[in-house]
Amino acid sequence: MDRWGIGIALLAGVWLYTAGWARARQRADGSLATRKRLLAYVTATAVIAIALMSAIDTFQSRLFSIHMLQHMLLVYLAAPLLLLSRPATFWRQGLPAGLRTWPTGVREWRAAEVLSHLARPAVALGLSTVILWLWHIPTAYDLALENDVVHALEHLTFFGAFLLYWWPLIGSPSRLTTNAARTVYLAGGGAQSGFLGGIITFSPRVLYTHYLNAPRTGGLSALADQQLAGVVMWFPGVLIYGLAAALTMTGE
Amino acid sequence: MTARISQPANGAVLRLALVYMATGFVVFLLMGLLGLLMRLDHGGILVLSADWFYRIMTLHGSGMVAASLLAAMGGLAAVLGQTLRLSTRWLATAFVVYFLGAGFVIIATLLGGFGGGWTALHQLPFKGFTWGLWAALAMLVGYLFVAVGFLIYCWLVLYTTVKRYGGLHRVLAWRYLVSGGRQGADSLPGPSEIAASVVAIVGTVAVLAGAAYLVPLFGEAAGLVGSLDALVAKNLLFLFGHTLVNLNIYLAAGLVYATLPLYTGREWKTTWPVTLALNLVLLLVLLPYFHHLYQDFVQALPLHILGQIGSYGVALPAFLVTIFGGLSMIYRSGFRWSVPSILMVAGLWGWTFGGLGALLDSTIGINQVMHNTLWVPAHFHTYYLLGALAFAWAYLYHLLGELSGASESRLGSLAAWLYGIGGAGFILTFFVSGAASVPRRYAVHIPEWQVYAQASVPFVLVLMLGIGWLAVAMLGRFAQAWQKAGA
Ligand code: HEM
Repeated sequence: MDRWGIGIALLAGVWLYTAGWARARQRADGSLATRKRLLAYVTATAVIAIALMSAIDTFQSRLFSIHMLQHMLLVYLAAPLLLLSRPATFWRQGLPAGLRTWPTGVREWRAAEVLSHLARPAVALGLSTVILWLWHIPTAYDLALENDVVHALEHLTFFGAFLLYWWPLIGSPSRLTTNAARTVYLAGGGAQSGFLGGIITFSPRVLYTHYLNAPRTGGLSALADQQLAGVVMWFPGVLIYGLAAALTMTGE
Repeated sequence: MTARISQPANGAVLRLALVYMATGFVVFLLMGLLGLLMRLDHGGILVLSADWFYRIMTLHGSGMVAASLLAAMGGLAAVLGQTLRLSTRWLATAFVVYFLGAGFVIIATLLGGFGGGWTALHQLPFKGFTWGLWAALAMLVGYLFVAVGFLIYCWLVLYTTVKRYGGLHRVLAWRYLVSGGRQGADSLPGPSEIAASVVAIVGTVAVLAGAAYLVPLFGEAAGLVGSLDALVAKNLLFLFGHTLVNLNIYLAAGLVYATLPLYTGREWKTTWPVTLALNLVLLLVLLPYFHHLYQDFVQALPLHILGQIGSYGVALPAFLVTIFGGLSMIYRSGFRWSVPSILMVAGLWGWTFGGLGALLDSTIGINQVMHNTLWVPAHFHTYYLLGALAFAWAYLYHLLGELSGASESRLGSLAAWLYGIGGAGFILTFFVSGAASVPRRYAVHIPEWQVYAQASVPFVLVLMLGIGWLAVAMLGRFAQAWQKAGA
């Protein structure tokens, strides 16, 4: 999808969500349609727009560090914000009356059950880890950079995998019921992504040939750019897991 | 005397305490294996490249310090949870931040090649020839995370005790202390609560010193500020590092105050000497770090003298209250030897001898000879392995046994003897090599020195056997204890 397509899809999403949110609010369902949720949705949309439609997207094919930043925005900011906003509920409410039965149809072919299995903490952590690491294998990453369809698939699977990762923590209902379980989950997530960031930072050679051949930008050599990319994944990434701990632990 | 069931802590706190202590134990086990590697290298039995020796030494040192602190933090949380309502939200957050910080250190050393030592003096982190800027930064960021995790823990403890007793002066029992024990005796906190609060206050100061050291370093790395004054940086680094490791024993002492009574049948009360000792620790524990700077002739002489006085001064209250108090509790109590009780006695022994080793080396005249010899690691290995950590593992073993209801076999206590005997032999060879002026932090030992390390290897193997045995025994109890804790 090009930028126009993404823009239209995002706007349509905002329109649908806002309509559903307003409708729920009119029915005095204030505990569901909170301002916080609306803000989370709009912010998630803005983050996706910045990641996929701004200069970040222009430079991601030249600089690995910028590409990494793009992924970070999607998986560490947009994904949890989107989950917090409960989009499916409000999108459905935003649809014309005749179409609102659509999600029931979906449930019939058991998508909901499949999703609920995938959102079990061990599965979600495992799957998000596997997807993150698999896409960073040089062949896969280079392929994504050379082919738009594979690239879109990469973004979609990253995003989906991290929607899954954040789900047990902030989705509804929360699957991680104790702080001890949340602790292990966040420590596991932070450790695996931090470790991958560390590997990229300290790799003695350029891992992705695409960036070796890309025009040099900003005076950074391909290796220095790669080190920066690793650090971008590693340092702020770990900070996000730490912050998530402070925000998601509950008083027990 | 058999162990009685202690007052259970809130289940959520207990589970988190188990996460803290089990993580601490696993890291301890792994870092112990790295210690064995270094001793094999010193003995010329296995040859590590200098680059790898220093990476391993750095990871071992920082990993052990972090693991030991973590285990004591977790244990004390379980103890405090018996009488106080600790917020599990912040206990859990502190763990995640701390754990992720430790991850930075592992990656900085193993992948990034950082090998400057667990305390690297200013300029070295950024001037290493075998590692780059990112490795140095990762190491320091890791320290920052660990420090922030510890700070969250300290503030949680302080907030909880102050709220429970209605003011800091009450937590530290000042009225009781000043009145010579005549007033304020009705609402005294327990000794573990006072010890934890003292650690929390001093820990905050230490972390602030660490931040004052780290933040300008980050500024320097980013080219925002000029070079730091090396002497100021060294003072801040040791105020942070030395105080942090020193505090570890007071956290662990809190575990002994709570556990020893269960094995002796005698209560450890908050007496006047206990309040005096812990308040003195509050005052004195910030001073001994100056003994790390005796060789720095530009440091003002009064500070050297203060270092010596502080080092002697802080040893006294600890000795009188915990060690003397502990031993007199055990005396004629019908004390039964089991894993926790053996480890607790080993801990009292290690604290005494580690402390004596430190006292000798903090004497200015002796330090001129012993400075940076293996005497230094000898003293802190005694103090940790057979002191703070022996207390922590005693408590972990006790807690797992109590929760799982598993009974102890006769043979089971052999694991603790192996730990004690192996550990004592290992540190003895460290002391002997220190006395023979073998330098610390040398990757390659000349043949004249190798004999000491060769003598230590069998003891280290016995120690590792003991640790492995304890690990298996505790693993067998863990699942049931976890269930019971949450019930
Ligand atoms: C389990 C058995 C252990 C063994 C075999 C072992 C062995 C060693 C060795 C050989 C060194 C290098 C000494 C030198 O050449 O300077 C060392 C350093 C060190 N060890 Fe251990 N150790 C053990 C346990 C511990 C424990 C429990 C701690 C607790 C904190 C600890 C903390 C340290 C520290 C802080 C250093 C100094 C690192 C540095 O200089 O940067 N070790 N250890």
